[in-house]
Amino acid sequence: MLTVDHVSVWLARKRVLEDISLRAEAGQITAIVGPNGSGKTTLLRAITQELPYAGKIYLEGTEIGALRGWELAARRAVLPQASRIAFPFTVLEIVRLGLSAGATAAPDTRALEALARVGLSGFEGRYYQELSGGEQQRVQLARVLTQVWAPIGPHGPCWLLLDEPVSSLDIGHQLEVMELAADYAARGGGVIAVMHDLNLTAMFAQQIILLASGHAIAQGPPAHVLTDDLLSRAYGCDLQVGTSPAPPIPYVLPQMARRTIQS
Amino acid sequence: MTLALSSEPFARPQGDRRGRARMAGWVLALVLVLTSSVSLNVGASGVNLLEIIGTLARGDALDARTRLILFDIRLPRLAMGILVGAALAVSGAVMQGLFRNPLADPGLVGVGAGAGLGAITAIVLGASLPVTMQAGLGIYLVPVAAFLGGWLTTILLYQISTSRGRTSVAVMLLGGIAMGALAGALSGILIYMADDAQLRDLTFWGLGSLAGATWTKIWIAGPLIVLALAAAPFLARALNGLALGEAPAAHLGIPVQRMKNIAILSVAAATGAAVAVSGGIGFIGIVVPHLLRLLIGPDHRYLLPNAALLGASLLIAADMVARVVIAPAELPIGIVTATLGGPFFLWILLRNRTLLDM
Ligand SMILES: Nc1ncnc2c1ncn2[C@@H]1O[C@H](COP(=O)(O)OP(=O)(O)O)[C@@H](O)[C@H]1O
Ligand SMILES: [Mg+2]
Repeated sequence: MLTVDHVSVWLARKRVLEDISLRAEAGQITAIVGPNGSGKTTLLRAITQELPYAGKIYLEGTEIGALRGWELAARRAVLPQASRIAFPFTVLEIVRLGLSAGATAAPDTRALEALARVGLSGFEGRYYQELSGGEQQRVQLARVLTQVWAPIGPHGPCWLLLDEPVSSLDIGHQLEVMELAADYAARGGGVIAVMHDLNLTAMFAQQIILLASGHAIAQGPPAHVLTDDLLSRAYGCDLQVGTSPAPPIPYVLPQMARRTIQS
Repeated sequence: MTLALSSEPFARPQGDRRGRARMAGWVLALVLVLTSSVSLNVGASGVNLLEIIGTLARGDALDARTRLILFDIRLPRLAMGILVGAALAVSGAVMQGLFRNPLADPGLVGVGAGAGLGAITAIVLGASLPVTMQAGLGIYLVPVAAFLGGWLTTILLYQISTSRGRTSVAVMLLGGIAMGALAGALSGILIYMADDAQLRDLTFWGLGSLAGATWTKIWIAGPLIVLALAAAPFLARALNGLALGEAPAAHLGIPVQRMKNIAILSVAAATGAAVAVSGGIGFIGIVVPHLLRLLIGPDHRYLLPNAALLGASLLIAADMVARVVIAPAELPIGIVTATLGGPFFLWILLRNRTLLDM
């Protein structure tokens, strides 16, 4: 379990996150959603120890700040929102950077396996910089996967912390990556993902935290959080949530939004 | 078991350049041995390595003149060439990795400018020191001043760019430019005050040379350089991680700030010592890592040791050219590295345009 306990973050003297609490369970996908600038990335960066924060964050009961860098690296891997790389590394070399950080010695073929998982078999010899944005994002995901390959490590569940893992992918690869995350969770790992797409969130997440201007305005399973009222408040436009026939999954279509200006 | 694995002939996947990088290491080591042997053979006097080996093989002793030329002139010069070449190339590669920029060089942390100012101060103002001090420091005045100048500048710059335990690479880059300009201006004032003889010394120092190599200098500069080079393998994984950015490197479990400290201090020590004993030799620090990145890729675990080997070979080769072109006089080595290296580098750049934009 990863617990965020009354966390606030100040950036440039501005309070960007205010008193956020969150319990993310291993075995589930926990999604962080909210409009642009609501503090999703900031929350993830507090969890990854990139930003100073007030409050406490625990990983399986241990305060996360008390763990050393390499201990943390063996228990959670982080996919950043955007990655520019210096120097012409090949795809294989990038993925292998994750291998060297993992908890256990991994076979040499692990990197190729990870590339296959993200649908990039055959890309290992390409230069990273020559790939499209979506392909680069999947290479980074493969690197992150190799770092915490086994969902359950020697210290308990491992965690994938993903910042908008599918935002620059086509629909096919969006589903592929979300299924990969779901599979990781199903095998006992934890996943926290910042999500842009409410429909994919509704399909795959078991827990959602909805942020607006640095506050958590709702938290819980999709059916609780993805409601007309909460989404309309968070996103500042009149949204209507539909529900698909069995299994019932909420969906949001922009066609069904009434602009506040018109109403 | 690892042995069995590594000797197993398994097909390397595409994009795996480790085999090539290791092979390059062996080739470069061989090249270094060859250039070193040739370099021992070349010089103003007609002392010849084959003859020496012949003499030794017959069990005869070498005559005094040959011994002097071999052990007190050519060998220290060779040793210094290897040390300085390796120091400059590895420092360049480390700086480029740290700043995530293929154009970075040790000059960026202020070593070059600071060392230059130190040397110029020593050359111009050294004459006005009390005679006893001059006699005491003697020929070491300039190297010691250069090293102190370089080291102090780096420490100062490091202090400026570090706040709350975090060193900002961007502040360091810009601060280095500012300090470089300042040191340049101070040097300019001193140059203005210099007389003709001092000016000639300054020019020669500024262009670099291995001519002043002595065992004493090597015993002073060598340990610093070797120590700094020995730190490089520990930096390799961190520099690879830093290519992803500072935060992703930290997520990989790399102690980013500690690695920055080690990188900056070891570069300052290595370049400071190198510049102090050989003057300002440009180019090696940029060209060598760049060539190697084209050849074996940017993985620092292989880039750093190969840079040491290639840097040493190149500097020794350049030194040979410097010794023979206008023999019995000598060219400053900086002129050789620039006139041969410049066009070659341009040619490489033109041939590899697409890779460069990465
Ligand atoms: N380094 C920073 N300094 C000051 N403000 C920042 C910084 N990074 C982000 N912010 C602000 O914090 C808020 C939340 O940003 P972020 O968490 O990146 O949003 P998002 O939910 O889109 O990921 C935004 O208003 C942004 O402008
Ligand atoms: Mg964001």
